[in-house]
Amino acid sequence: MSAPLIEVRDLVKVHAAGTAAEVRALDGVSFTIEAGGYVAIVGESGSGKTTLMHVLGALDRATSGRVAIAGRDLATESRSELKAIRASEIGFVFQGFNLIPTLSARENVELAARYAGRNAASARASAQHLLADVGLGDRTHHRPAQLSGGQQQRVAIARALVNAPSLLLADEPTGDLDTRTADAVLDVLERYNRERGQTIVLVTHNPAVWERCETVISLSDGRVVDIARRDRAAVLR
Amino acid sequence: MILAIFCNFRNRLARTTLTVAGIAIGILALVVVGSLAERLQTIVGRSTSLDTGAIFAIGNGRELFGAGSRDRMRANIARVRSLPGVASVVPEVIVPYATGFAEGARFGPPSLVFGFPYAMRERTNGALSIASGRDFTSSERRVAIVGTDFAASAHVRAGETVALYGNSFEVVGVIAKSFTIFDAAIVVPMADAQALVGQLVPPNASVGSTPGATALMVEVAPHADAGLLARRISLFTGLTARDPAEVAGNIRSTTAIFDAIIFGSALIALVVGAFSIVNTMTIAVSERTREIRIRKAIGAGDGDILAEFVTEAAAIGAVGGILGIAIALAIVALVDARSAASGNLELFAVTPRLAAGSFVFAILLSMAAGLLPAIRAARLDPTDALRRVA
Repeated sequence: MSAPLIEVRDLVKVHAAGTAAEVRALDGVSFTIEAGGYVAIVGESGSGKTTLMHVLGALDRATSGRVAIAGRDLATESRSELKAIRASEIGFVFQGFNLIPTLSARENVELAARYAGRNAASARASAQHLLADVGLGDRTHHRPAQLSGGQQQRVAIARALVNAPSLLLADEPTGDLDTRTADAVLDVLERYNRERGQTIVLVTHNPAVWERCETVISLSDGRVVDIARRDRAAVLR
Repeated sequence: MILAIFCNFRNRLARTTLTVAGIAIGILALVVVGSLAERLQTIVGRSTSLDTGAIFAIGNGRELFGAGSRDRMRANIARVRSLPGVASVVPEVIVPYATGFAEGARFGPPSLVFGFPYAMRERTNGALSIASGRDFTSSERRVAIVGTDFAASAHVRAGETVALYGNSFEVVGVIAKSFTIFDAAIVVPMADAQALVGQLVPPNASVGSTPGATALMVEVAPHADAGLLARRISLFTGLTARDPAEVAGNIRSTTAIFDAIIFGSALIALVVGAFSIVNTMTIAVSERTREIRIRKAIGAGDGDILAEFVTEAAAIGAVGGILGIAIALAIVALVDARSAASGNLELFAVTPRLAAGSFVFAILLSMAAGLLPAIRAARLDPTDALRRVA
């Protein structure tokens, strides 16, 4: 059996440690996610979802416990190594799209490739290809303000995938979209998971989203209260 | 990155324009006053090179105009020649050009009439090369060559006539601009200059004879102590002689003080411009906090963010620098053209060294000014990028 892509063991994250405002956001969280998994992390507000995303995304460090992505323990990596992991191993899709408004769709996607150290030609080619793949081949020169919400989120997906990351993290990726547009965005994500084996971890509290995932990790008060696994064939349409 | 910087400029056009204007004004001040200093150094450097190593001994009062002054000057020349360390002594006549046009109206060194032995020309280090017309020959009389500034202010050209103490002199040539005292000079044959000195003597004065020279150019022998020799000349002849090294030193210290004052003033203007960059970049970081966090979340390192903001500051400095230099060039050209047309001293010299130095300085200062806000941007925590937009 191969090693899991993500291994989280006894993860504790304390905010404002040692102060009156101390908060134990994650309290002994453990789970594993295999490569190619399609996972939802669910829970109420304040359950620790966002903190878990930060730690999985190498944006924040755990207070204790182990978090490993593709065998690399994030706790032992230097600041610059974490930056490199963010650039090449992890792709982010944010709830509010979070595209850079002064750049075109193609430049937004290119930027992530350039930060990963790729040359301009390679970055541009990948950006063009991915934007065409998510159905925006004719919108590459449009700025975010000239695109609809669904189109912006597809640009964000292309940006997240431009460096062929091991893991795609999405925080409420359909939160700002109407049902039809949300379905279209989820279809894109599912297609990448199904056809290319892209590992995707979604944070959501929308049942319509997590019902389409094969694994659902439920958090409450910083603890894992349930891990539901379903048959892949039954989940993916 | 260039495109992103351009976009940032465009999106904050008013603020960026004001910041660029601040830097441009600072660079404008630096280039204008710097060009003033450059010109001053040129004038001082070329003028002092005319008599390098020589002692200039000037006659005064009794030596020039008293009874028997010609004999006394001859005796003085003989005494100076006999002093140890003297290589040669060349008599000169220098008298003011005081009539003809409103001398007081022009700005620059005074117009003087020079006469010195024809062979002495070789020692002027090219300051008497002819721009138009021709030089006069050793056998000609009542002819003159005039400096460019004098020609412009007196409105004379080669072939025309100039009046010196009521005597007509044909201007046979105009001396090329050399940024020395000869730019405002009238050079005439030695014999004519000696005759002019005679006209300066008041008609009712008891005059035995007029001096053959008003000053002596004393060339110092190699390894001789010029300072000691100058003191001996003053002591034994009554002429006023100064150590050339002391004169050069005084000029250098005067120009150094002048340089410090004008560059200090310009630097103050530039530092004010730099503060506007600090202000602009700090506001930019505040406005773009979320964008910076997103960039970090998608893989930008501290160095990427730092480089972007410092490059943006450098770009502001470069644009401001180019603008400031361009405006300075236009102002300087305009002022100098008007000065040259009226025979005044051309005040400014924008050298390639000054222009390039000012441009590089504008960029470096802007980068330094942008560094603190850039460091602040680079240290932003990316975790908030995942939070929902308010």
